[in-house]
Formats: sequence, C-alpha cells, structure tokens
Amino acid sequence: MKQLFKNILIILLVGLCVQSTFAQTSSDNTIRGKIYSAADGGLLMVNVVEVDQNNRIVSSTTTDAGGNFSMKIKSKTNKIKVSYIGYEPQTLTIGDRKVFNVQMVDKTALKEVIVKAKKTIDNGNLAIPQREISTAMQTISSKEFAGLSVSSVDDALQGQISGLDIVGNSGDAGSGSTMRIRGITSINASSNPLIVVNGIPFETPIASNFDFASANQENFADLLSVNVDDIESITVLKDAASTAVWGSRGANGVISINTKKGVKGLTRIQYTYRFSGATQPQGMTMLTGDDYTMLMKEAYFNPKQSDAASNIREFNYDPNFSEYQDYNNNTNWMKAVTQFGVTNDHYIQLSGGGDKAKFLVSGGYYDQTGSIIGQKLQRYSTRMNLDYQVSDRIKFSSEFSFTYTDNPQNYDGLLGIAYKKMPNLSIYTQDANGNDTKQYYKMLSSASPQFSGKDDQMSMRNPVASANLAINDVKSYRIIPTFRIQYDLLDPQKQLLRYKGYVSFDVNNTSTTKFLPKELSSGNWFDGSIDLAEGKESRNLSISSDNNITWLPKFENTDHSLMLYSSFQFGTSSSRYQQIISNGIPTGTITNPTAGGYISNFASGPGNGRSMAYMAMAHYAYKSKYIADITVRRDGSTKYGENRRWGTFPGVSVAWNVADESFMKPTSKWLSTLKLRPSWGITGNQPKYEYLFYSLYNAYSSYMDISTIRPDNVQLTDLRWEKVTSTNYGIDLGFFEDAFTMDFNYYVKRTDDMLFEKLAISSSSGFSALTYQNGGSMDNQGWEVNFHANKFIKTGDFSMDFNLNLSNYVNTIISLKQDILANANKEFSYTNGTYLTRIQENNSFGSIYGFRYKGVYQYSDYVEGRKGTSPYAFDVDNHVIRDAKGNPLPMYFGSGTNSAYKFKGGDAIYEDVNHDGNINELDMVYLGNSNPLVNGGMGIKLNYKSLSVNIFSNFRIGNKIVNAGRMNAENMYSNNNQAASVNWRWRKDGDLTTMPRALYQSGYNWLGSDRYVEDGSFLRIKYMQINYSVPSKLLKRFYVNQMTLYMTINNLVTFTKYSGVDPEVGYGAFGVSTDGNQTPRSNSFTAGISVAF
Amino acid sequence: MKTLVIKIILVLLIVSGFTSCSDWLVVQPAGKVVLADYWKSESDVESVVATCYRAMLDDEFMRRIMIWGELRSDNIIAGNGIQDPENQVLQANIIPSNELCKWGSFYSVINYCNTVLYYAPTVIDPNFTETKLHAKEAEVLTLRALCYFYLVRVYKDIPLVTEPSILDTQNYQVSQSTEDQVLDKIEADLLQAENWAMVAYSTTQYTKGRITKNAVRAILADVYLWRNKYPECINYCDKIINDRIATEKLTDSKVTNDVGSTLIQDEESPFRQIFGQKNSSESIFELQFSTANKENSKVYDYYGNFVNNAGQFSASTFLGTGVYPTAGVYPATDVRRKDNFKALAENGLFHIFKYAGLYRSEDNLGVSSYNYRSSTPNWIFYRITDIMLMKAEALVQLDRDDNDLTAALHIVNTTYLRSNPTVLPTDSLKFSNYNSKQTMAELVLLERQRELMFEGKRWFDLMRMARRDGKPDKLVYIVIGKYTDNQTTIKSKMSEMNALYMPIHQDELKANPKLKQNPFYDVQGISTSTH
Repeated sequence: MKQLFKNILIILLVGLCVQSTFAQTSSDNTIRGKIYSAADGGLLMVNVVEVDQNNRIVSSTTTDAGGNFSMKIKSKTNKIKVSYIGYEPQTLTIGDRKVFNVQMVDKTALKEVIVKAKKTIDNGNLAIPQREISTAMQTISSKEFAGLSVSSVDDALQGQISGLDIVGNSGDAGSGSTMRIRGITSINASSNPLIVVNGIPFETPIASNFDFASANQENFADLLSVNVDDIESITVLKDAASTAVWGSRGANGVISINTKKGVKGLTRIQYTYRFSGATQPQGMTMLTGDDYTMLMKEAYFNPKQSDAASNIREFNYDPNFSEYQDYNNNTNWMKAVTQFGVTNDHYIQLSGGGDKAKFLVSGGYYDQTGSIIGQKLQRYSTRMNLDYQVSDRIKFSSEFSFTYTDNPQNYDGLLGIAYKKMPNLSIYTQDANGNDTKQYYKMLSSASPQFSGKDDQMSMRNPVASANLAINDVKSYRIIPTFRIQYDLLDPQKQLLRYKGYVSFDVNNTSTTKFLPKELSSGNWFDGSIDLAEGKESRNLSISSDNNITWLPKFENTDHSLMLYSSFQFGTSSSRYQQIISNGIPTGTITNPTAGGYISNFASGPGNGRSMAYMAMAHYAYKSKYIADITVRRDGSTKYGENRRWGTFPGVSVAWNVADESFMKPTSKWLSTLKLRPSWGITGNQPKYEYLFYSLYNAYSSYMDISTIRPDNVQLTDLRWEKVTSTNYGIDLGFFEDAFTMDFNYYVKRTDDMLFEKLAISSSSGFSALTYQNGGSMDNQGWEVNFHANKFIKTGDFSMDFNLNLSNYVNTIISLKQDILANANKEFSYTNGTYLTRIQENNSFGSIYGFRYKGVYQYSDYVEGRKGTSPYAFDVDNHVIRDAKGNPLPMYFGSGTNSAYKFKGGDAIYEDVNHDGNINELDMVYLGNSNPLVNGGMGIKLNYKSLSVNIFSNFRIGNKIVNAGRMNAENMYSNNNQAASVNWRWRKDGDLTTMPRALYQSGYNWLGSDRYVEDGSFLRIKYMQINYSVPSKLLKRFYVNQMTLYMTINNLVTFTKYSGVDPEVGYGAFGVSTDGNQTPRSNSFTAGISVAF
Repeated sequence: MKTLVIKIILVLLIVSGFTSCSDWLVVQPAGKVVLADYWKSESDVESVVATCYRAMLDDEFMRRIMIWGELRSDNIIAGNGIQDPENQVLQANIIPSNELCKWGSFYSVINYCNTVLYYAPTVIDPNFTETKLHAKEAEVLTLRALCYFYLVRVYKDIPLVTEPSILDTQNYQVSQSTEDQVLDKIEADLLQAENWAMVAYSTTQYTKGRITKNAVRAILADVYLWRNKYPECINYCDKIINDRIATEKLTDSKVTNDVGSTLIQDEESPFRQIFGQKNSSESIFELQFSTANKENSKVYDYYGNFVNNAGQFSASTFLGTGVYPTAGVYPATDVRRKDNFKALAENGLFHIFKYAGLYRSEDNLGVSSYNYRSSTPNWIFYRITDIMLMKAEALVQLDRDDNDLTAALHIVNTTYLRSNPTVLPTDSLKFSNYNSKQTMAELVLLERQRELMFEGKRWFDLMRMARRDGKPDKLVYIVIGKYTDNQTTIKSKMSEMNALYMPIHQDELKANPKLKQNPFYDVQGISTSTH
C-alpha cells in the first residue's frame, strides 16, 4: 500500500519534470494586430494573451487607444486569447501567422445556451452524481436556514436531518449542544459526530490531562467558530459505508460542511443584518417570601414536633433581629435574573472573479446579550476563499478563516440559584426603614447554622450580585489557513487523473478569566473563596495534510463509469494549557490570579498526538443503474500501544436504480425514482487521551523538602479500537418527476470492544480506575424516513412545499463485562430523589425504575371503618393486616435497614406492591423509558410571488423525563425555595391532598417515584419565518440587485403535557433524561434584511 | 510557478513517503517521565519513597485515620457543620454506601510502597549501596505495614497486595486474606525492616518525619499488643524506652534509668512542645505538614481552627461537664483537661484544642487563653508516652504477679503526675486502689484516654478490650455514654463483634466480585440485580 502510493507520487513527479522542460522551449517571434468591434472600431485596453495547451498564460499585452497591439510570443504552437468585458472571448491558433486583426462580437448577440449537468454530491473526497449515491447521506442547502438568527450550525440543523438528534445543552449564550447521529454508539467514548469543513476534519485537540468532567459546556460550542452565513451546504454521512472514509473518526457519523466559494462575475456585495429579541419562558411559579417562611416553620416543626426546632430567627419576622429588614421581603429571584435579550448580527460578503481567479471574502459580527443577566456573546468572524487557476490543469486555492469569540458567562448557574434562594431575603442590603441601599445583600456567616450546610442558602451566592460582580469570561480565537493544490496529470478533457493535496493549520487559543470578589462570599477572610481568581490559557495547534489521486478511466463503452481515489493523510496536533487559581487577592479591584494571593492550584499540561491514514475508494456504475462502492481505510494512531496501533476500516455499498429498468416502463409515469441501496461498513472510535500505553511518572508535590514523583496510571497495553459495524438498507423513491421524493433507511449498528472511560477497578490496586477499558458490545437498530414534496400544490403564483422526517432507534446492550454491569447498576440507596437505573444485557438504555406514588396519607392513625388513608399495611383484599396482638401493622419504609422509617399522616403513599407493610426495593416497578418512539421534524413552505412563509417544527413522541426540577421544588426537604404548588400541602389530620407535608431533612416524601416521571412528548413550532424579496424593478433605481426582508419567530409554541419549562431534555447518564432546570430555550424573534449590490 | 509546484510536491513526498510510519506514530509525552526512563538513580528511588509519605498527607487518608481511630470512640460528638458521611458513622449508622468505607487512599500508599520494593533493587547507581537500598526498603515496608495495620484493625479481612500495579493485563480482583495472614505479613515485614531501618537521619525533622528503627519497633509493639502477644510487646516497648534513656543520658545528666526522667517537663504543660512546636524529643514518628506541601485540612476542619474554633467535631459533653472521679475522665488538677479541649462551653460544645491549637497560656488567676496556629499541625502516629502506656497495658494483661501490676501503675503515675503538676508525688495513684487485674486494666485504659485523647488511638484501645472480651458489651457501655438520644438503636447497631468493623464499600464489592462483605452488613443484601 505504502509502496504503491510512493510509486504514484514518483510518477507524478516525473510527469511534472517532463512538463516543465517542454514548456521552456521557445522561439523568438513577434506578432501584431488590431482588435476592433463593428460598432466602436478599435478597442482600448483589450487583453491579448498567449496561452499554452493547458491554458496557462505565457505572455500578455493590452491594446492601445486605436486597438493595436504587438507582442513577442514564446511558441508558435501556443494560442492567442483575446478577451474584453462585454464581448465574447476568442481563441486563435498562431502557427506562422504574424498579423491578427480580430473583430469582437458583443456577448448579448449570442444565442441562449442550455447546459445539462448531473447534480453531484461531494462528500469531501469524490464528487459523485446524486443518482449514483449508494450510501445513506443527506444534504441540506444553506437556503434552508437563511433567515434564522442562530449562533452556530447545530442550532440551524436541529430537526432538519433524519437520524440526527440535536439537543441544546442549555439556552445560555455561547453554550453548545449534544449531537447524535443515529443514537449512541459508545457509552463512554465520545459520541459526537466528526465535523468536516471543506474536507478537513474540524477538531479541537485536547491537552492530555484536560478535565472533561468540568468541561461539558464546551461540548460543541466549538462550532461557534464557523459562521452560519458562510455555509453553502451541509452533508450528513450516516452509514458506515459513507463514513468509512473517515475510518477511526467516523463511528459517530460525519457532518460535512462546505463553505461558499467565489463565483465568476462582477464583484457582488451582500450585506445582511438581523436583529433578535429573546425572553425567558415562564418557568415554575415559586413561593413568595411570606408563603416560604410559613412553609419553613412547618418543615422544621413537623419532624420533631417541637417549637424550638422551628424557632429560627431568619423566619420569625422579629423586628428586634438585626437583619430584620433583609429577611422580611418578597423577592422574585426569577424576575431579578432574567431580562430581555438582544442580538445584533451583521454579515457582509464580497465575491466575484474572472477566468483565472475567484474570490469570496466575508466578515461577520454577532453580538448577543442573553436573556439571563450577565451573559454575553460577541463574535467577530471573517473568511476568505481564493481560487486561482494557473492553467486548465493547475489550480491553487487558499482558504483562511478567523474567528474571535468573547463570551462573558455567569459565574454561577443563576437560574438554578433563583429557583432555590429563599425569597424573604432582599437583593440589596436594606436600611432600618426597609429601603434598598446600593450594596448587595449576602447572608452573614453569623446566620443560623441551619443555613450553613454544603450547597445550602449560605453558600448560594446572591445571583444578581454574582451576575454583576463576578467574572467568568471565555475568550477564544481560531485561525484556520488552508492551502490547496490541484493538478491534472492528464488532459482532463480526455481522461481525468488528478492529484490534489492540502495542508491545513488550525490555531485555536482560549483563555478563561474568572474572578469571585469577596462581596459575594459569606465566609470569612481566610475562606478559600474570597477574592478567588482563576486564569486559564490553552493553546492548540494542529496541522493536517492530505495527498490524494483521483482517476476516472475512460472506457470505450460509455455505459461503464469508474472512479478511483486514493489518499494518504497525516496530522499532528499539539496543545498546552496553563491554569492558575489563587484566592485572597490583595484588593478586590485586581482580578488577576498572579497578583499575589494564596495560590491554590497551579496546573499545566502539554498534549501531543499524531495520526496517519491510508485510504482507497472505488466507485463503479454501469449505465448509472448498477452502482458499487468500496472503501478501505487504514488508520494509525499514537493513542494505542505498539500492538494495537493500526486499525482497518472497510466499507462496501451497492445501489440499483430499479426505475431505469425496462420492465419498470409501465410505472414510469408516476414512479420516477426507485433505488435500492444496501451498504455495510466498519468504523472505529478512539479514546480521548494520548499516552495511555505508557506508565507515566509525574511530579506530585513534596514531603518535607524532598520532591515526590509517583506513578500516575496503569499502563494500557491491551487497549483496542472500539469498532462499529453497521449495515444499512436504503430505498429512494421519487414520484411524478421527483415532485415527491422519499427515502427510507433501516440500519443495524453493532459496537464491539466498547470503550469505557474511568471504570472503577478494585482499589486494592492503588488506583481507582483504569483510564479506559474495552468492555462489551451494544446494538443500535433504527430507521429513518424523509419525505419531500416540492411545489406539490401550484396554482398561479402560489406554491407549497412540504417536508417531513421521522426517525428512531433502539439501543440494546448485547454483552458487558461482569464488573462493568455490577458497577453501573447501583444498589438502591434508601435515599430520596434517586431512581434506579439498570443496564442489562439484551435491554436498552434509559429505563427508569421507582415506586408508584399514590398520594398522601390523610390520617396518622388507623380507625376501623373510617374512610381516608392511613399508614397501615393492607393485604391484597384491602384488609388491614394485624399483628399477633391484633394491632394493625404500621407501614414502614426500609424496615430492617438503617434507614427504617414509620410513615405518618401527611407522608407520601407508595404502593406496597407485595403487601408486606414495608416499602423497599421490592416495591419498585418499571416506570418508563427515556428513549422516544419517534422523533422528527416537519416543514411547510408557502410561496406567493416573492413572498414565502416557512414553518418548521420538530417533535418527539413517547419518551419519559424525570422532572428533577419539579422534584426539587416540591420536596419541602431543605431550605430551598419551593414551587407555589406546595401551598396545597397536607397540614393537619384529615387533609385530602396529593402534596405531602413539609419535613425538613427527614422522611421519605420524595423517593424516586412516578410522581416525577413525566411524558416528554412534544411538538414544537421551532420557527416561523416570513420572507419577502423586494421586486427588482423597485430596486434598480438604488443600484441594488436584490433585497430580502425577513421575520422569524423562534420557539413559537410547544404542545406538550410535560409540566417542566422545556421538554427538550438531553440524555443523562445511562440514557435517562433528567430535567434539572437548565436555562431553557428562550422565546425569540428575529427581523432581518439582506441587500445585495 | 512550475518549480514551486515541484517543490511543494517534493516536500509532501519527503514528509509522507520517506518518513517511516512507525516512527511518526511514536510520541513521547512532554513534561512527564515514562517508566522506561525512570528508576535509574538513587534520587529516583528517594522521590517515590517520599511519595509514600506524601500520599499519607492527603485529606482522604487523614480523614480516615481520624474517623476510624477517634470519631467512633467515646471522645467525640458532632460539632458545627458535621458532614453526612461523618455523622452517619457517629450515629453508628454505617452503611456500605458511606464514602468513609472506601479504603482506596490506603491502597494508594500501599501501591507506591510496592512499586518501590519492586523497582528499587533494579536501580543501578554506584552511589546507591546495598545499605542505602535496604534503608529505603525498610521505610516502605514499614509504611505498608502501617497501612495494612490500619486496614486490618478497621475491616478485619482485607486483600493483601504486595505487587505493584503496572499493567492493565494484571489481575486486580484479589480476594481477602484472613486477619491472621495479614498480621503475620505485617509482623514479618516489620521484623525485616527493623534490621534495615535507619537509627536517625541528618535532621531532627527527618528523624521524626520518616521511618526510623524506633518507629518500626513502635508499630511492632502495637501489632503485638493487638495480637495479645504481651511479652513481645513489652520487649519492643522496652527497646524503645531503653534507647530513649540511653540517648537522653548523653545530653542530660539528670536523666536516670527511669524513662519518666526523660519526659518533657514544662511549667504549663508539655503540650506546647509536643503539639505546638512539633517534632519534640518525645515524638517517634509524625507526619509532617507544611503550607508548602500540604496543609492538615482535616484537623483544621474537624478539630477547629483559628478562624472557627468550633470544628465539625466536638469533645464529648461528659468529658467537659464533670470532674473525675464523679464524672468525666480528668481530675480537676489535670492540665490535659485544659489542653485537649476548651473547657468553656459554647452551644454546649467543647472545642477540641489538641492539634488545632498552638499553645495555651494561663494567667495568675488560672484563666487560660488559647492561641491557635494556622493549619499545619503534624499528625503524631507514635510518641513515647503511648509506648509506655502500651507496655503498661501489656503488663496488666500478662499479670504474672503483682510486680507486673505495680510496674504498670508506675508507668501510669509517670504520665499522670507530669500532667498533674500541682499534685504531690505522694498523692499519686495508689496501688491499694488498683490491686486487681480488672481495676488496673481500667486505670491504664483511662490514662491512655487522658494522655492520647484525639490522637486516633481511643477506638483501637477499646477494640483491643472488646477483642480480649470476645464481645462488644464493655465497649458499647463506654461509647454509649456520649449519646443523648437513640441509645437503644445505637446499641443494637454495635451488638456484635462484626459490627465494630467497618463494612466494605459497595463500589469495592462491585469492582471486585471476589470480596466478601462483613456479615453484619450483609443482612440487607436483598439483591436488586435480579429484576
């Protein structure tokens, strides 16, 4: 393989040498002449150039005022090319001719020419005609999201591609999203798809000891550095046969983005401006300060039945309390931390070019103020694409993109705090008369000890103060210059043998500045969080290169077509980060961690990685009817030990255009396309970290004055690639000249040698976990349907488009190492708020187990014959169970364990499934699954003349969500503020309600039960967009070519039974969706204008 | 232009074709040393040996030493802001999901020790003589033995690992060895280490902060006492005591053949030198904390600090409220009462001062003022009075004749009189009051409590007693005194010997199916995985 490749390169090299010696032969000859037109006579400044066989310019001149020229030519065998704006260019052979008098013909005089071409899809390697595609891929044009104001591509793609599930991590400005193509193939290795921009993998190299656990936000915020306006089209590669070209990186699917390129013609300027406004959706209604204090006094009283327990001065409204004014308020924290968010998005693009060179330059400025106070996102981006055609056979191109992002984020999760913070507290310190001063109020360290627990009120910072005083600023810039060369070794008109190569650099630097001033901390001056400053810089540079040869052999019989492609890629990346955290910075105005406080953490880490791959592809088509593709890729990575370094990833796919068969003639009237396309392939996944196969000795700290070094890890000599084998069956259908098109895919993916990260090993080894382990197999089965109706209704100026996509997958564990299973399946911990999750062989992820909630015990004691519930055991026939003495048997929780608890009136009723008077794990039942039955998207487009209305909605049906937000707001278990619904709580014997009594740090009223498991089905009108192109007649006067106005309403309405704010919840650990009240997607509108000159 | 193309292609050709693929894919980690390049010199060994000590400074390690040795005893009740896992242990409500049941921090140290034992002999360095090698081996053998000694006292049956963990292909699922197997290994290792260990190092700090011959002997004496091997225990205590007398005699002419004459005598109390100034002459082995390496944040959190005198732990109320013998453990004259905790009750709590504080001073009226340190007290594993009282305990248990008991009483009187400076020697504890094995054993136990309060010894003292009795009744009787409510429940949770040992953490059982849970905690094991 390597040898073959070397040979090809040598041939290529030799070929070039021959070319160049040939070109250098020249003879001394002068030619002259006159260029004129019938209307104007001699033409001034006409370009006269001598070109060689490959259309490369050898010499050139221009005509004078009379249209005359003279020039020395290099060779008689070359040609003369004459061109002038507005006229048809002419090419003349030289031979022995010395005088050239040429009449130019006006371009407008030409007849209309009809160009016929096949639509091709470029997957980054080969441009294959669309009808010959044999794999599962889907392309979306940028027109589909032209009017949306989105900060990154993932937002635009949401719901557009079947099988691509995108869930925003949160609505925070600058936060990323989770993307899954065809489900989760790996439990612990990365499941994010590979992003490819213009054929080059777009990745962020990561320092070897980078802490992933704390970096969730950064997931795919990466994509922020690609401006959506620069995108021409996006192709999503879904099956293994198509992603096998990306081998070890393609296991999670590939999103291939192509950016816009310059087009020949006059320079065109396009300017777009969009304005958006966003508001936070209405969340839970929380208790007022007055209701809250009443609740808390009950919550403290109930467990001990003692007034002393509930005598807490912060709840007492005692005017003698020194902080009385600060604890007697009704603060709406939610309102205090939300605002009207505004986005301004400017984009300007220049493009144009001539025969030789084409260019596109763009610049964008995006400025967002979040709908939560204190969040901002500013992005400056620019992109430059240049193509230069040296000759018909040599082409250079260069791309350059630069993005700078400044993203001041919140230091704390403000919304989370706002839901929990006690509402009787004031935002600002109040004077003796209850008027706000300018100082933010913080709970004093002398507050009652009940508030000083971990994550309790005292440590909950004042969210308004946090937004305004604390700093958490992430700045990053990314520069990606790329140089490309393309050379045809043979005359492309006869036979295409093309060498292409690129070198691409990717510079990605990020700096994070954090500062927490002392005004926000209740602790004393020695506390580690006083004037806490943190600085983190990371620098990444990666270089990647690809050299490939494409060969399209010519056959006598044009029924055969063959494309061969082979490539050699290599890449190297290096990264480094430095982090310094210090506290007790001398003054609150200095926010730099180097200012001389106590350094609490100093870390740095370098990372280095290299990769190498060989790849070969063949595409064969017979009459464009029978199609076969083969891909083989061999990947080498520095992440594996010597014996496991290389992985081979093949892909095979075939397609049959049944509709072209003669026997399909009868149906051809209505059935325009029928294509069957099975495919098979293997892709891989690699761990995130480098150096795993080394045993590393790392500096630790010191003991006395002796510096210490310790072995850091267990050497992974046996770690293997995670392999994903997938089979895809696809059908493409088209009806009535493809006015209706439909495609259907069914796939089975098997993941073997699943990578498990940080899986616990017996700690008697001295280590808590192995960094990675191969541990089992998993299946994903799924289907996808796409349906498009293009202008299926068309009456006069009105037309209508419709598209729908549906998909779903089922995930099944096939086998897992025993200790992995044991590890993942936690025992029931007898604590509130937790659900049992189970990973079992032959079962899917995401099943939820818990108790059945049956309301609230109305009475404490059992009275024979009285209606109403009381906490006593009943048998199957609903008779009370009595003990030996004839007393009714009380209902217990966890009897026989350390957590045993006797239920009382006002406590939650859990169904005693086995009627043993004891609520324990044996009473747990299956409560549902987080996997949806189906999810998808639907779009309708109405066109009337130049007005169009586009409505897009996405939906998910049949999934269960654990509403942890509500659980925390209704448990009445801590000092956190609660939802207004708890006003319906049980207060005294006989109360009939479904809301249990308040019990501070006691009882079992919020065990994981179906009370909080909700149906997460939803249908969301994601956006409605109205688009109006101003008729060009009106624009001509202002020298404007084109003007479009649009208006979009995002997140228009959501139909759902889910009681939380936003049913679009991502998958948590082991596939259970848990909604913890992250910043939900905001409601927003966008108005924009786009003008082209 | 064409030449440029050729040049570019040539460069690509060179990079791609002529670079060997396998070379390209070998990346040496930057900023880190790989195993193949390590273990080349004496200093490489020294650095990993230091790691063994350093790993013991980690919060999780210190936390367990304090919880296992002290929190479970009658000395401590909840202070301000005690965390859930600690509180559950305190309430004798220990479940296998409690993070304090995790033993990983001990096995980390054990693994570092095993690594040194495995690789140090392979180091080829002309300066690294066999004596030096043995001295280093003695240090890590002892540290490993100390870790295993803690584990075996806390869990009883534990996995005994003596090989370093290097490759992912090794078998890490090791089953438990019995208590005796582990103790035998500890004994054997310590006896070996005693031969090889250094007598002293170049500085006092090193001598106190690293393993010396006397440190080995101290652990050995403790192990013998645990195993009821009293003559061996006395033998090793004497080795240390005689060595101390001999050493002190060299510098101080007032030293007699009685170890009591070597003890620090201080006007107010010896506390200031032992715990405040650290590395006192009485110390045998103490972990060295400093702001540069690691602050002792567990003492800071648990026992209190200069910012917040109220730690998460508090001295038990009965210790402070009464005066011995009617209640409490200290007579009114005992200065340790004022040194160990602040007698002034706030919120009904007594703030622990030992370790947390720097020194106490007393004005003419006998009013104490307490001075705190920052956050770097050392942690003393063994000091001379501990050894003396170990000997006393062994003598009482041996009880060959009255001489044993008198000798034990003499030792008790030595530490007692030092801390009761206002008591005349003639008023010392009289033999007539403690002339039975039973009463003398109780006295020694009491004096150990007074002297070594909050030093992580008390629980193990009580455990030795319970093990000798074969039942936990006496231990429970003593411990229950600190609880004001739930006494019945707590009693039931300490009802059998197995209940006195900790459960193995549930995550460990999952990661290693070969482990067997302590049967006391296995009763609720209705398996949920059979759903």
